[in-house]
Amino acid sequence: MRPTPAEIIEGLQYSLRNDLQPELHSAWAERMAGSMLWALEHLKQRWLHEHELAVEENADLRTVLDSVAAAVGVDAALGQALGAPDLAVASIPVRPWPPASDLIAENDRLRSALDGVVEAFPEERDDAANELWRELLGYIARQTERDDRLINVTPG
Amino acid sequence: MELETIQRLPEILTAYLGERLPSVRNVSVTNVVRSAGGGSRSMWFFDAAWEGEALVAKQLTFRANESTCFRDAEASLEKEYRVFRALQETPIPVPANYWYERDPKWAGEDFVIRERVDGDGSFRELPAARQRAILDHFVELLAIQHNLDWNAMGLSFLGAPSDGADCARLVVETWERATKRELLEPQPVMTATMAWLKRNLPTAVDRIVLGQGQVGPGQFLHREDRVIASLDWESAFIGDPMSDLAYLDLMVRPVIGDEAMAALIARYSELSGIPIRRDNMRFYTVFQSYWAVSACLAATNRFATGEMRKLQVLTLGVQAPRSFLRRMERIVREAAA
Repeated sequence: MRPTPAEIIEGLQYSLRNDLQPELHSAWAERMAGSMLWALEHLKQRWLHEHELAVEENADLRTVLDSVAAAVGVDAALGQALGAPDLAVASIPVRPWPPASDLIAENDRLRSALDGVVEAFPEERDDAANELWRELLGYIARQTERDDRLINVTPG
Repeated sequence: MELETIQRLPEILTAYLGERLPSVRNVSVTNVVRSAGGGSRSMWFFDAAWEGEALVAKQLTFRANESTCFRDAEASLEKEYRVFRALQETPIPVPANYWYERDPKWAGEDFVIRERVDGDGSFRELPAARQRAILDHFVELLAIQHNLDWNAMGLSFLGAPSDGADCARLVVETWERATKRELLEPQPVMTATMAWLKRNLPTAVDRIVLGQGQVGPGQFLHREDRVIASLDWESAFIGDPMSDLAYLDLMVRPVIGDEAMAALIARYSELSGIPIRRDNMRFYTVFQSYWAVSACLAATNRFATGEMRKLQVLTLGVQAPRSFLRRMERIVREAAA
């Protein structure tokens, strides 16, 4: 449907900047208007990109959890240290067109599993475990970057 | 605070001052203006007038308890008020804090009435020579602060570590607990950072001091290149002085550069008599980021759960912690490389 949500948000930003901001006469109100402009841009970016980033994020988590499962399969000591992480969550079949609510629920399970692995990861590690630890941290870097794409935004 | 209370503030403050200052007459309150500064608690500036004598400034601040990010367990308004009151008797320049009010009949929540100091809060945009002059004075004050007898000042209620090793352990335990309480979804970056912190806990501390928590430019006012009011004590703690120094480094190094920062740290050490422990500073650099994100998580929690669905809470919870998250992620990843 036209206008799209992104177009409507741009209209809100225009009116806030051009119709309302010039009429504001206190520093507090100016600050709130600036925050609103950011929040509108954040909403726009989420509308445009959140779904694809959530798909990417869950696929990323699946890959890393597969690596954890593989490492635990050949390293009993690591498996023992990690306890019983919910690695089965990584093999739940991926739906071709998942609704956002499914992606969010799936992400919560996947991230919880990974978070449990990070929390239980042993301090003493051999080379293979160190490699896995770096892979976990690589996911964290990519996840931080994905969030930044939605949050570190400048109103257009 | 509710809109109805905000609209009635001049009337509320007039009545409050009238009751608190029984020796004066005809109290009036004007120019009630919401402060645009700060992120944790709402403040309004106002001017008061009366007939008669009272040992109270007439330019005042109303600081409401309602917090966007802190919970009382970690940083209450009352704790902050008690620290300010204790500092009023020291060479550290702080605005006078007159009253802590608990009676909800006034504004529906606790609040503090505090002196409003006229000064300049800017820093980044100043010429380099002025920045250095201000920082030179600031580290003089930091050295004095780190030599205060916090026990004699009655500040052991802040939670005194039993020894050097206890300093880092206490803060890590406190903020890990706070993080777990506030998290609404798993955050592996917080978990990985906490693992790093626990592996790198400093054990040697040369002196257990009164720390400020959030330190340096943005937390004080200056005039003629002298610090005239230290404003932010809600994160005050008893612990390792390297924590304050790490926060100062975090905030100031990107502005003044490595050489000037090294000189500033050396000057602090000389004035305070406290040696610089680089490993402790590195630990607290990471910890300060973890702490900042943790505080912001409480804002996210308040917004998302509907406890406080206000724009300033959203921005503090979502936007503010990004640079700290990136720093933590980078340091933990570099340590594993």
